[in-house]
Order: sequence, then structure tokens, then C-alpha cells
Amino acid sequence: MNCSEFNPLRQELARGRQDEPHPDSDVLTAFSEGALLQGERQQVLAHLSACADCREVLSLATTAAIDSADDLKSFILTRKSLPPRRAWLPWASITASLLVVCTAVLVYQQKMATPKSATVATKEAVQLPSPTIQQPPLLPQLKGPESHSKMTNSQRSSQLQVPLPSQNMAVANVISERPIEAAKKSDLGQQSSYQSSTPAGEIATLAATAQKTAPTKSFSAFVNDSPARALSNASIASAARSHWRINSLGQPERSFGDGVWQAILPHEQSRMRVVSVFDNEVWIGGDSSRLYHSTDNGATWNLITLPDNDGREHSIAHIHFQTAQSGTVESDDGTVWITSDGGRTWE
Amino acid sequence: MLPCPPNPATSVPVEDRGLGSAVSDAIAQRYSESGAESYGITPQDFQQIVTAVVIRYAADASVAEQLELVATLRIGELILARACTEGNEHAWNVFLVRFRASLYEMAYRIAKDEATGRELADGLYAELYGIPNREGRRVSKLNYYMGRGSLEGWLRTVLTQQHINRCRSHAKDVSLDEQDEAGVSFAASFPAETAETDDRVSIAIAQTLADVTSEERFLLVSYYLDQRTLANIGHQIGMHESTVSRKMEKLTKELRRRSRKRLQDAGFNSRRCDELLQELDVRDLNVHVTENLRQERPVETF
Repeated sequence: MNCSEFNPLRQELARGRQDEPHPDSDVLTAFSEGALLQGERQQVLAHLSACADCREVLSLATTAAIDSADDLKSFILTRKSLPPRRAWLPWASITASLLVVCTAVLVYQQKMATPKSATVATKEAVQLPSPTIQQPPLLPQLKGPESHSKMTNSQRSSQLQVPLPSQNMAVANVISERPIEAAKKSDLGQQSSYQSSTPAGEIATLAATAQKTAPTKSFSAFVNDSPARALSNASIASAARSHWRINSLGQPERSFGDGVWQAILPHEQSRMRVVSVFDNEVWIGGDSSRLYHSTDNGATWNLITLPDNDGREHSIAHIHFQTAQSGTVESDDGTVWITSDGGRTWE
Repeated sequence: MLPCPPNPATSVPVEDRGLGSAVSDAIAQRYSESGAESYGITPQDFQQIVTAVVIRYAADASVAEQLELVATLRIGELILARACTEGNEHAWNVFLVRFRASLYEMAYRIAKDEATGRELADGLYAELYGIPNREGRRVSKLNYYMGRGSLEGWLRTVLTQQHINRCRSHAKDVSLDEQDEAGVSFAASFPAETAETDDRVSIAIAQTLADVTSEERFLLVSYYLDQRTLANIGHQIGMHESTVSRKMEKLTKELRRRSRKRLQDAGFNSRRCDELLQELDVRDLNVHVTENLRQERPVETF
């Protein structure tokens, strides 16, 4: 029921001044956009409050404008709500690929830089799975001892080839108990011909630490060590480490890892067969019951005379010291000499 | 049908009504930003176009208001419209790129029907291009654009006016059969009730409403008579919905207080005043009972 005719408020509100002209579209648009002058705005408001037609136009046009704005806003919000593009992902992939390629090239170059004529000990070093191993330098084989003597200990240590499994380990002592055949058959495929009862012409390479303390470790224990631990120990024990071998002529030689081998006991005519190292204690034994002992890592040597009851000459095949003072020497005929005072007395 | 404004190009004798030098300088300063040069409009023509607008809307205003009007004009769109009116091809290309798509989109939104919207937009587009008059001269509807608001807003308003006119003209064309079938929509109104209204109430209400400002009256009629939403009213006058709500609450309380006082002065007691004011809830008058029971909108008493 339409009761508006009888409501005084409605009647009064609906009473309009229809004699005024309607504002044009421009003015209505400017009114809704707030672009009118203040006086104009009041005039338009007065007209709108009395003109239902203009109010209808204004309301419908404003609603259409709001719908457009809402659509635009929702579009913008939709765009904002999308997950952000990971623009860094392609660049990170490219960087990672480049790193992988560069690493592979460096490893390949390092492998190619390893000399083919390096000692057997270098092969052992290469087998350790770590790129931090210092590779043997490409020093000329004819480099004299003068250049070697000018090198500092740190330089020497940086050129060491064979990392020791433990700073307390005397590799030679352990290895000397093994025949070369057993070493060749080992699961590691070690190619070092550690000399024990080595036939003539075999090369024996030994590495000795400069550490004083003594608990020894078996070779198998070294093998079972983790590579990381072995490398850590090797880096610690690398200082002043010397390498020992007996060349094909049966002459003992020493090297500090620079590829230069220094002849030890050059005047010795007998053929040496075995080298044993415990800290700075170095023992070299060979034919004619020749047994040399050095307490200063090979700087000075003493010829040890082993007691012999039958007067025969023995060929020393094994030297094994549990400590710096106590050890055993065994000849190829089974004769065993035992000392507990660093070689001063033998039984 | 809503009346259309007269053609300013023919109704305003610009040459007879000059502006101050300050206003002319202000107009000249806007030449560079208008893009008139790209449409081949000389500074003299530009001055004449803008002067016509100023004279049309602020001929009797102060210089400050004229300067404000010049500063607030959408000068670029005004020159574009004039260039299109003159048939400038470049201007039409710009217009089509900027407004053709939005013109059709606005028509769809206003008509809420694609076919009707397209028909509406096509009709306006033809008028914008120009319809030959009696002398055979093509007259574009863009000539009515004065740059007071945005050109897009003006197009929207024109579309709205044409849509309303179209609906009203079509409503008049409804046949008697359709009216019978339509039933309630075209039903004859009930005979007026012979309720007696005290003249003192009408006088009090009229005196109370006479004191309100134009904006307050617009709020009242939009809300109580047109039953617009607060958001729609706010958009029309550039206010936030909450601001309109606060204004309405404050306004109704004040009007109720004034009306009550006037009614008491007219000889009504307090109880009768409350009854009369309760009956003045104009918004509740035409609401059906079922809708009233939904309680979607709290019953607001005036």
C-alpha cells in the first residue's frame, strides 16, 4: 500500500523545485568526481535533493563506475595474490652449473698435472679421495740437493706426497713385516713395494714422522681410517717428514717429498735390504750383517755390530721396533736379535 | 526524457564576453599540456575553446573562481573532444584507442544486458561521430563535452541518461495486454486513504526540513525516498560509507529533536509527539511485512 501521500515528511522531502534547469552531463560527472567549484556543488546538491531524475542518473552512473573500479581492484588483488615469481631461480641454476663445471675442470687439470714418473708413493696419495691433498710438485728430477736445502720446512711439508695415517705411526716398522707379495695382494692394490725381504732391484719407500710419541698403528688400521681423518693426520704430520727407500742398486736414499732422492751411506758397498723408521730413529739393514742406526733422522749414522756366534754373515730381512728402544732384527735365515736399549745391546 | 543542454558552440557568444587578462594568461599557459598542437589547433582556437567553457560556467564568478575553473578543467580531453568534433583523424584514432572499449564496457554495465548494452553503445557512438542536422552539417555529441569532469565519466553519464530515457520510452510503449499480463507492476494504485493529517504536524516538519542544508537534504531524500544504500550515497557525494552513516545518524537525531520541539510548541504532549514521530518512519512505509520481519535492516525511526 502506498501511503506516501499521507506522510508529511515524505511529502515534504519529495517536494521539489522543478523550475530549475537540470545540470548537464558534464556538471553531473564533475559533481561525482568532486571537480566542481564550491558554489556549483551547493547548487547541484540543491537540485539533486529536489530532482529524482538527476539523482537516478547520478546513482546509476556512479554504480557503473564503482563496478568498473571493483573489477580493476579485484584484478590487481588477484595479481598480488599470485605467488611471487622466483626470478632468482634461473640465475641460481646457471651459477650452480658453472660451479660444477669449474670444479670438474680443476679436478681434471690437477689429475693431468700429476707426473707419470712420480714415485710410487704419489700414487698412493692420489688414491685418497680428497681434493685438498697437495700434489707433488713438478720439480725436475735432476734438481740438486742445494735447492732442496734452501727450502724451508713449510715448503717441504707442502710438497709431501704421502700423507701419514697417524702422526704417531711408523709405517716402515709395520711394512717391514710384510713381504712385497703380500702387499701386492692387499685389497687396496697398493703398488708401493715396501721393502722388507725385498729382492734386489725393488724400490722401497718409507715415510717417517718427526713426532716423538709412540703408539704404533698397524697398516690395516690406517686403511680402515676414514679418508678425512687420514688427511687430517697427514697434514699434521707433514712437517719435516722424510721418505726413505732402497734403490735398485741396494743403496738407501732419503727424500723430503720434493722428488729429489739423496743417497745415504754412499760408501757402503753391501746391498741394503730393509729400512725401519721410528720417529727420528732410522734403522737400515742389509747383506753382510750390516745394520746402520741413526738417531737424528739420517744426519749421522752408526754401524751396529750384531753379535754372531757362528761367524756367518747374515742378510738382514726384517727390522721391527715397538718403541724407540726395543725392537727386533731378523735375518733371512731366521736369526733374531732383540734389543731393549736402542741397539746398544743385543740378545 | 531528460532535457539536453543547449549547444554551447551556438548559444554562447564568446566574442561578446571577454575574460580578464589573468584568466586569459592562465588559459594560454595550459596550451602546451593540452596536446592541441598535435591536433592542429592553434593557440587562438585553444583560447576560444577554453574561454567558451569559462564563460558558460563561471561568467559571473570572481576571477579567483575562474582561475580555479581553468586549473581544474580536463584540458587534454576537452581539446581531444573538440578535435574529434572537427573531424581530426588523429584525434579520432586517439579517442578510439582510449575510449571505444571502455564505452562498450560501460554500456554493458549500465544496461546489465549485452544486447541492450551494445545497442546503447552503438547509438551513442553514432551520436559521437555526428548526426547531420537540418542544414546537413554533421554535429557531434562530443561538442557538448566541456571538460569539467573526465571524458570517460561524461560518456558514462550520457550512457546512463540515454539508458533511462530508453527505458522510460519503452515503458510507454507497453501494450495493454502486456500491462494486464504484467499484473502487479502495472496495477493501478489503491485509492488514497482518507487519513486525516494534522496541519500542525506538516507545518512542523516543513519548518524543520527548511533549516537543513542542501547536502543534508540530499542525504535524506537519497536514503529515505530513493532508498539508496549508504555506500551508493557516499560514492555519489565523494564520502565514505561510514561518514555518511555518521552524518545520517547525527542528522536524524537533530531533526527528531527539532520536530519534537516544534510539535510540543504546537500543543502536542510528549506521548503524542512520540507517536507522531514513530509514524514518520518514511522508509518503513512501503516495505512489505515479510521483508520487515527479516530484520535485515533495523527499523530506523526518524
